[in-house]
Amino acid sequence: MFWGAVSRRWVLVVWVFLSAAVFNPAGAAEGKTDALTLVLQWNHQSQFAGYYMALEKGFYKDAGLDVTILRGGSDVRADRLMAQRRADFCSAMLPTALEMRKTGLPLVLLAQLVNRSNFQLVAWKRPEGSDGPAVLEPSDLDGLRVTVWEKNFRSPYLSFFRGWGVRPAILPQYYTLSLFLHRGAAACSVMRYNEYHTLLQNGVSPEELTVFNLWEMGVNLPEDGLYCRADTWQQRPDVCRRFVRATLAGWRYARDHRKETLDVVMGYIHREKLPTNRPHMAWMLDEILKSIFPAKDEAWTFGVLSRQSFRATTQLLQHQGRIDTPPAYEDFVKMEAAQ
Amino acid sequence: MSLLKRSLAVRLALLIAVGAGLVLLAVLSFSHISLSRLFVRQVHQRGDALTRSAVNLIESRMGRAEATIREAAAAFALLSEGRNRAQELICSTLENHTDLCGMTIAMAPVGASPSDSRMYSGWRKDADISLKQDHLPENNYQQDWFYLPYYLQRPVWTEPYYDDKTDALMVTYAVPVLRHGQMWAVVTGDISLEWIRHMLNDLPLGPGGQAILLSRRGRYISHPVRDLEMRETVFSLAESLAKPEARTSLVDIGHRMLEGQPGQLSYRRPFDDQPAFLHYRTVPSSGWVLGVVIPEQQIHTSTLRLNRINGLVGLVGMSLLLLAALGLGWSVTRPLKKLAKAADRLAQGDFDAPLPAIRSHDEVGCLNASFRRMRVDLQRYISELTTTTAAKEKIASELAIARDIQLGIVPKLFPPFPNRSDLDLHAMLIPAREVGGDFYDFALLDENHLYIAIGDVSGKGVPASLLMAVGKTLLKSVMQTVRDPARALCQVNDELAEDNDSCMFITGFCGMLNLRTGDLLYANAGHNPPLLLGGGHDAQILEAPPGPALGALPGSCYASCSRRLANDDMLLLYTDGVTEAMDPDQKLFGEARLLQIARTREEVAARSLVEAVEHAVRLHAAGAEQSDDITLLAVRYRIDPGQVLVAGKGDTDPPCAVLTLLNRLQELPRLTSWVEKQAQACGLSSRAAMNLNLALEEWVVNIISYGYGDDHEHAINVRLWADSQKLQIEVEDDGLPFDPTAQGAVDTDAALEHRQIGGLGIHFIRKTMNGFSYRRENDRNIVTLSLQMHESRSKGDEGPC
Repeated sequence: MFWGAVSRRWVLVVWVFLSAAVFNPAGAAEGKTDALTLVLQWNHQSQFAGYYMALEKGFYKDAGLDVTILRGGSDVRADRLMAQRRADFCSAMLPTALEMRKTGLPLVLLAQLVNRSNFQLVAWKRPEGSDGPAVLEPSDLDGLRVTVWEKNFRSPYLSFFRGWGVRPAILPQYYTLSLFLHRGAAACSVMRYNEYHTLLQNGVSPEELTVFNLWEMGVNLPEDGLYCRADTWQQRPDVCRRFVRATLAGWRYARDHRKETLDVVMGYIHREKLPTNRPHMAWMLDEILKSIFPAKDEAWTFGVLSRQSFRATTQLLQHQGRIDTPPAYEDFVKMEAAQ
Repeated sequence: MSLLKRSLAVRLALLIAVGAGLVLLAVLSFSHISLSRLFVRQVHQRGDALTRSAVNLIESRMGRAEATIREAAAAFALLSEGRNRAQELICSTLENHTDLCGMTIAMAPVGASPSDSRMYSGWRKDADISLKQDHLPENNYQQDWFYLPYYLQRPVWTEPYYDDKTDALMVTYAVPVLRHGQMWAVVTGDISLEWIRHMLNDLPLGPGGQAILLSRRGRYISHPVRDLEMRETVFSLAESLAKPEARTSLVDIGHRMLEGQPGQLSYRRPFDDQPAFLHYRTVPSSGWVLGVVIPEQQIHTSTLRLNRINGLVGLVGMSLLLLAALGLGWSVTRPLKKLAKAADRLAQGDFDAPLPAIRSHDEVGCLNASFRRMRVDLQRYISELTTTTAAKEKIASELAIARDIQLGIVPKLFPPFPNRSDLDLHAMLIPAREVGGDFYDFALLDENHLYIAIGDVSGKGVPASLLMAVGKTLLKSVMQTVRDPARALCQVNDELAEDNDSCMFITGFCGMLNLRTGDLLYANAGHNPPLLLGGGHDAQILEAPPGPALGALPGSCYASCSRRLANDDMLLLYTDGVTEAMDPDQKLFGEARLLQIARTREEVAARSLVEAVEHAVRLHAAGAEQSDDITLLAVRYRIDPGQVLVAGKGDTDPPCAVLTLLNRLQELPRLTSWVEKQAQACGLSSRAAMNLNLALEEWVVNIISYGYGDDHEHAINVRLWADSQKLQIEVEDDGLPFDPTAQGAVDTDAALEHRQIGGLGIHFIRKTMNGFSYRRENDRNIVTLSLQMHESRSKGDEGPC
């Protein structure tokens, strides 16, 4: 079933690698444009709209950068690509990036894009049918089957359960919500900008669900950020700066031109023949922008990871044993890249 | 329009066409409605049948696949050395069940060691079956085909997915295998969904019809718009709609379709907003929903097509009907037109104009036949009319001639006596018909005597005109002879009354005017008395003793009257055609009116008076038909200034007394008593009166005895004038001319036997009368005797007596 897909994608990766080797920074140093590669953490979607727009509107080109964007996905190991220097920059969630350091890939954060978490836990209001007990509070999930993503996506939920003293029966959750939809689980983990809307598009009405917004219930981990290897930052700070600035400009452009952005996103979707649709991408764009650009009453700064958030995240990961010693903020966070 | 007004055929055809058109319209409308209903019913039946059969087909295939995988799973569970035989099982299953594209047996991970896991796969590649074994299937455990049955612990159909290997839409049925209550393995089978697409494409849905297949989550598995497949769900599609109500409607439809019950509904298609019918039914095994969309337009198109055919047939029929109607109309109107043309020619007198042949016995045929008969009758009638008209024309011409002759009988030349200044005469005769019964007449009997007459024959027309001619001629000739109106009338009456079988008569007035003296001698035979105008007196009716009409009674007698006309006196003679002329209201003109007109015109000429009266009568009639002949005669008497009066005053003055005697000796006592009476009135002495009486008697006896050459009756007129000075008597007779004054003196001494006849009488007259004169006028002897009043007393007194 998946063999074909996986092998084909590998061919693509190899091609990217080869092309990266041909237009490598060696030439860029003296040439006018610097070729570099960005790898995303998932399939093309509105989540990465800012990067697309920076590329599409020529912000990268204007910055003297020749940027190639590689998609992520279950079949793409961004950490490997970064480790093997086949990619110069990557988009990753803060916990993931911190965990990568543990595996020997010293990433540094150039820009924190998603400052407000999108993690949600949705539960059937009546998991056992209309006559069964209702799930209205986190505590109602006690003992019920709850599917939660694996690995680094798991941390916020574990923190949530612990914080609320809930002990559900946790099942693994992978790429689909099918077990939840088959009512094989009472609750599942979703991203606000993605899976939650997928549920609605699968005919689930919001009235059927009880939604727990983790960021409102004590667990607000910063998510997507732009990373590069520490040595890249040391050796080519100028390129990094230009790339970050162009990227942030791309996001601003996306915020201000949503329809155009959506068209561009859908272009990626169609090229990749991804099984998604425009309304979903529109929803995703709106939601991701909400978590990137602060509203008036929100405290964070666009593109900046605060020390407080950094500390909270490292503490949580440390507590869950996912990292040993957290890096110093100054070592990990290179906000000056945006300046 | 003009054709419409002119052509009956076109009107008829148009009327039929309009009627038929209305009927056609009604039929088409009715058929449209019933066809629409029928088609809607059919669409529902078809939609229901199609969804049912398609669902059955899908269900049978999927059911077969389900059964195969279940059997394989059961078999695998029973295999003691399952792992080693897994590939064999896959191979044989794929070989036996060609519906399956691929098959996998994945061993559930046991314990914490993933190395213990194995996954066996087989797939169909062309005609062969490829097999594969995977030792680290960790990623695959995360896929639905394993994940779902593993955690649900029941067989499950995954959501359909695109398989890169076959580039086809696939779906997997996954059956968990438990051993000792533990999850041991998952056995799956893949089937391609391409055949479903083909099958749905082949469904006979008609133009615009669509078949869609939804997954149990509402995702489009098959849709005519391929871009929607696997990308969109009903709900995502709804989200992309602009109108909120359309969004809500589609979401609602999605929920209803996914409820699991078959159904049908009418809705507006989200993208083109066209009304359509949707039939849907759930595939029981997978929970998918098959929907069939049939646009209402299809019904309309079908209805329209049928209606168009109906309409076309109707139109053709109507055109034929129109042609037939035109033909019929023409067949009716063609002979009518020919008849009309023939009638026109007939009206112009062409009786040979051809008539259409009689081909049928319908109304037109009857008309044609009648027309033929009419032509024949008309021909006959005209020929008769021609004859009659010719006869009538002949009569009319004869009548015209008769009229000319009749009018020629009366004198028509005016002024009749242009050389005479003492006479102004005019007359007029207007017959009511071609010929009339009125007449007038005048003539100078001699130099001093004017004869005037007017008459009216009873009845009108030719008989009256004949009698008029006779009467007029007779009267004139008699007058010329007898010179006495009364006697003339007597003679004419006797003449006419004799053998008067037709009982017709004539009223008439006859007069004789002495132009020297102005004496008018006249008689009336039942006629309107004339008017006397002028001369210083008022207009008056000239009275006369009435006599019977001429020809009515034999032996009738008429009395003469005498009147002396003054200078400028005018006589107006007329017939009752004047006074009895009627206006349209039958009102008579009347004598009074005539008098009135005459009075205002006393001074005018005779012609003007006649014309004035005629004009007044015409005005009075005011166009009413003239019922009687109108005859007028006016004569004005003027004293000739050059004329010497014979008897002084007596010539001009009218006589004081007049006596008319017949030439019979028996009349003598009348004379005697009249003279005595007059003498006494004049105060004459008895001697003088006796002398006068004797003298007159002597002379009258003389006339009676010797004056006439015949035995007929003759009138002897005696007129007397008297004033204080003088008495004058005239004796007038129409006897043989004899002048007594020319006789020699009587020898009174001679023997009686030698004396001349009458000699003594004349002598006596000479002796006793102061004046004794004679004149001959108009074949008449007039002897005048006069006596001086004082002398008469003396002379008369010394008379011979």
